[in-house]
Amino acid sequence: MVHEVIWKNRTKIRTKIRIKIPIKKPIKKQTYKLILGAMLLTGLVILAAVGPSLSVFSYEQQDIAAKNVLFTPDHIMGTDKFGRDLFVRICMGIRISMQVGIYSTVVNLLLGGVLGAIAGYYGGRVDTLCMRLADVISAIPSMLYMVLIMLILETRMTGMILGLCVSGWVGIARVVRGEMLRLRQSDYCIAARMGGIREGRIIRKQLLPNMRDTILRNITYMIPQAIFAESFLSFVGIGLSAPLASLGTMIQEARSQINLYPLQMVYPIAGLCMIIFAFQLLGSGLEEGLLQNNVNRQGRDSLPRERPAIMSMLTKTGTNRLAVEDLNIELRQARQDGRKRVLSHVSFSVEAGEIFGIVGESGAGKSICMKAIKGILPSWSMQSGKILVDTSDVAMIFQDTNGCLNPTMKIGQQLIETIIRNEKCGKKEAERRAVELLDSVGITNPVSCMGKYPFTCSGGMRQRVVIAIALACNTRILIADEPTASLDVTVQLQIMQVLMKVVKERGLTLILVSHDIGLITKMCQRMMIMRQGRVVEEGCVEDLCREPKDAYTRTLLENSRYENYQIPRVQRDAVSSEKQILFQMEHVWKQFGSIDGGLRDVSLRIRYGDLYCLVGESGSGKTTLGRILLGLLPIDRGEVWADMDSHLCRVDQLDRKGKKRLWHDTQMIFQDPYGALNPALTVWCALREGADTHKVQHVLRQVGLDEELWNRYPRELSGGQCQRVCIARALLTEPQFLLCDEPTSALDATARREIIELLCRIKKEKNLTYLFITHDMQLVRQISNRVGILYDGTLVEEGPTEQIMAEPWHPYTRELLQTVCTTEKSGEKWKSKMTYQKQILEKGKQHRCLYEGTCRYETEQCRNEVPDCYSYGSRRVSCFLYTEGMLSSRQEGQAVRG
Amino acid sequence: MWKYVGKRLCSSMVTIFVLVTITFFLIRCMPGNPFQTENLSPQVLQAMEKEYGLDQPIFSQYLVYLRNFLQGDLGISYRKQGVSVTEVIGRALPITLLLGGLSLAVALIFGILLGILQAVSGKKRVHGICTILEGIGTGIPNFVMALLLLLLFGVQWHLFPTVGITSVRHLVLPVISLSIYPMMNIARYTYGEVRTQLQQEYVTFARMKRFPTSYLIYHHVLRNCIPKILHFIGPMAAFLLTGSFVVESIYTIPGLGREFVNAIGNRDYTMIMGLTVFMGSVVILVQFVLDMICVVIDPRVRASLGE
Repeated sequence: MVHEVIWKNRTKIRTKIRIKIPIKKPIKKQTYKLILGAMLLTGLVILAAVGPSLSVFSYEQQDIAAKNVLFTPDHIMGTDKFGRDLFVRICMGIRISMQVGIYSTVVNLLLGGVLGAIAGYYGGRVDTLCMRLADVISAIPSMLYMVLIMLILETRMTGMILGLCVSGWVGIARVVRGEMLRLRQSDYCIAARMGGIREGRIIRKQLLPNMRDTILRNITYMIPQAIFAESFLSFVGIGLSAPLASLGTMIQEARSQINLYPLQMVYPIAGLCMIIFAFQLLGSGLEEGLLQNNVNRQGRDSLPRERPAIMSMLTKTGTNRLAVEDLNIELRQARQDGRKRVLSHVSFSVEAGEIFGIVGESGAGKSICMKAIKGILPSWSMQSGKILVDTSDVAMIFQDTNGCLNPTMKIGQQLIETIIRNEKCGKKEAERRAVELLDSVGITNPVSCMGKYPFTCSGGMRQRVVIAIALACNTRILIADEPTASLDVTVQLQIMQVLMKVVKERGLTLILVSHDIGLITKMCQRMMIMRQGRVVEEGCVEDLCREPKDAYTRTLLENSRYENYQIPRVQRDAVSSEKQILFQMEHVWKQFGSIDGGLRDVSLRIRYGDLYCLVGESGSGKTTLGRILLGLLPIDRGEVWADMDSHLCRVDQLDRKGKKRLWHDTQMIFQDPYGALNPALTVWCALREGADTHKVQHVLRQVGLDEELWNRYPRELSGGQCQRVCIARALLTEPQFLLCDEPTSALDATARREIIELLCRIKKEKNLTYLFITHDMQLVRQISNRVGILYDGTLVEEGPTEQIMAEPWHPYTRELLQTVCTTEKSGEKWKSKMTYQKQILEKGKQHRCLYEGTCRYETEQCRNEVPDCYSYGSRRVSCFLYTEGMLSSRQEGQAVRG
Repeated sequence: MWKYVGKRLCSSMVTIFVLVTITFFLIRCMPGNPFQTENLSPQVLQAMEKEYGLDQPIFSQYLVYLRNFLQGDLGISYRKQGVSVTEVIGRALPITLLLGGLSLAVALIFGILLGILQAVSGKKRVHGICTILEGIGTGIPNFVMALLLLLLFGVQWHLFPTVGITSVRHLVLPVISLSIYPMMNIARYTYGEVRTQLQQEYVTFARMKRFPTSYLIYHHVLRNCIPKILHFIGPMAAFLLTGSFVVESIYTIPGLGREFVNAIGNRDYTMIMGLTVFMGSVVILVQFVLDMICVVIDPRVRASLGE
């Protein structure tokens, strides 16, 4: 019923043809500013150095015969009221300004750099103290201090520099501290520490090269500021005074004769402005250069801008709702003057009411193709070919639910403005429809949801709102660009269900873009496979699945199924429980204030030879647990033990030396392979930091990295290659234990398969123990022998993988497994059943089961008590359903089922 | 939220206290006796010192000064006999406030407009002109700007009066020369902010809702930029204050800045101390008020304070 209210029936199908013609010239390099600034500066420096010796007069010598002259061969710029040569004085003035600027900047840099580094390095109380001091100092206008200090020290150069340094260091100290903190917590810095590299070397090799750009940029701002302040003070009469020729003093002296000899004032003003402009040009040139460097480094394009398109209307009554014919798109590269072709000869058409899937790995050109259809390409792209569609009839859903919604606007407002815009109805009416829409996407309490801000909602809720807003646009074509990629597994399923339901109800055309071929095959009727900007194959889903024509499609299909992985089996079942314990956690608590990701009363054991999988949603504390095991994070309560030289030691009480020894045997592999490698070092250099040449060669060959890639920077490698380098680095110290923190979640299917196979092979060869953090239940089933499930910081269930997969006990585990089962069933089409957004209870309440509110089996007890961990054989579960009291009813149930 | 307000208020108070302390001891460090230059006999000098409390130990002087400060008494001028600093402030403050307030308003309005224009306009030429304007505006020190305007509009073309502040026409040149530097700074900052916001996904998403750019800017982008621009006003207010030193003395306007520069020239230490403390406190309080405004208008800040 709902869709009839909102859906206005359109009788005519209008199609617009948009033809885009390349208009813009390639972006020029922004180096001309740098060159201009440097040239100007060099000129000024030469003038300041050589100028005074060109004239026979000195800067304080008074030529009484020629006062206030304008131009004579002796005085090319004339003289002032005392008959002093202006040219020489201005050269001296420039020299003094530069000296003041550079000296004070050097002092500021040293002072601020050292303080900032100390604050950032030691953290804690020292940090707080330094930053409070900086806060207080920067809150008081610096010019007032300078005036006072200049009054005390009177007009001397040292006084001037000291005065400028009272508050000048604060800025640089903040910058250095911020960078220091950021870099010290970066993955590559942690990896370097764990690799046993000395602290001094870490600072020199890992931190400083990455801080250089930021500091350099700050310097170009500090120098003109200092010059500015110096001339100001001199002008007021408390800076450098006569006979020293400061530009400010000269301007002040010329002021009294402003009516008679304005040129006497114009010269020093020109000099002063030239210096400041030179530094400004240098600074902004440098900044733009760095900005582009960074863009290139991350390989991102930005600034999507709707371009004016040349439109010609064409009425067409065919059923062809959307057609793309021979579409080519090129992006201009900012750095290399060339262009990069991201789409070539793409043609496809989507019928009305169809669900069409587009599959491809990252870099396949899926997103750019969708943006072209919607007409929101970045402004530096060039396009040829035809897109037959009415742009205003297309709505789009994006991957990033957080970025999609305006953070400072209430959800209701954002929805209502859309409805008012597209429906031309009143506010009351729009409000009513907004509630209906929110209800139709499965939000339990639409009215209260409308009063919320996006950042207070969960990811799933936000994605539902985004779908509602897209629906409110009242279009007939919906493009969903990876709508579930950033969501948790249990939520992904719900969102897909919602999407399917609304699409079916309203008879929309859906284009679903995903990297997950499994998802597409389940959802869509037809699909298209893309690779590197080309269409590989297009056709009916069933046909493509049964007999793919292209080899690439076949590999994609193969790699999407974990059963096809060639993995050496891990020794499973009971045997492992007799092995020696490697890590042990007892009742560990860790809280980060109000932020998610803490741990509550977690106990677990990892034995030699285990492949222990830790599963959980984002924010459930998986990463925290891993880092606590390796002693990278302190804990609030509890005990952590690790086997070191065959006796157990407390990890949480280890000193610096002990940690070094622990890290020698344990290594870590990070989620983001690019973030885990120092962008300033090549692969070879990064690995050479910690070991000798032979060893590095050995491990790099072991992980199968081609020799030609060894001298590349991380940004020149693919994600999979980077991850190989990380594995190689971890193997350098010949560890016994590897912590793999979602090592494959940032990778494509092919790379994922390679990395998983590599990791499992290495485990077998070297007989290692793994703690594998993941959110992927299918992967867990394939690789692990033990599994632990984390929910909101609690270990809700733990045990041998096979048993848990066969019979999950905890309701949450069941839900997790259910999502896997539903997505695995092939052939069967999606049911249009829908789950409502679950209500999230306020987190403040302490004495309750954390899963309460979402659980189907909840009882009175769940609301008032925290469940213990109940052990049965090698399994443990924390749910009241498995207490002694429930034993009889459980057995009854088994009897009925069995 | 109230906890945050209290905390912020406390830290502002502490900062003002530090300001008073530092200023007091710095002034006491200054060379020479304030009455040395006046060729007074030792008896008179002693009497004078006694009158101003300078014969007491320095720490008790400090305590007295603190107590007086809390009561709103900033001392008596050394040079102008019998004139208290508070009187001078009371006389000069309205003028400076008028000048500063006008300049701040002009700077804010035109700065934000210019920044938005630069960010939104797709034309390269508009962007280029804006960049050059901002470069010039932030590159020329305000006293130079004031002198140049004086030279051109006052001395050469006689378009505007240059002395005193008796009519609206008198305000034009001082306000322009005072506001250009903060205006261009705000423009540059706004441009950066708006550009970053325009790159956000929510803008792309809002475009999908078929809103025109002007609506997007006004309803979506500015809403997210304003809190950040507000934070930027604090330093700008400080700039305006120090800018008023020179602008007021160049255009001979009897405001706080001119009094300050005169006091420096006369080495009138109580006056310098009183004005420094007063102006510093004003800037600190402005920053505090701005922070509070941000709490009220930005829901994210409110949420982070645990409301």
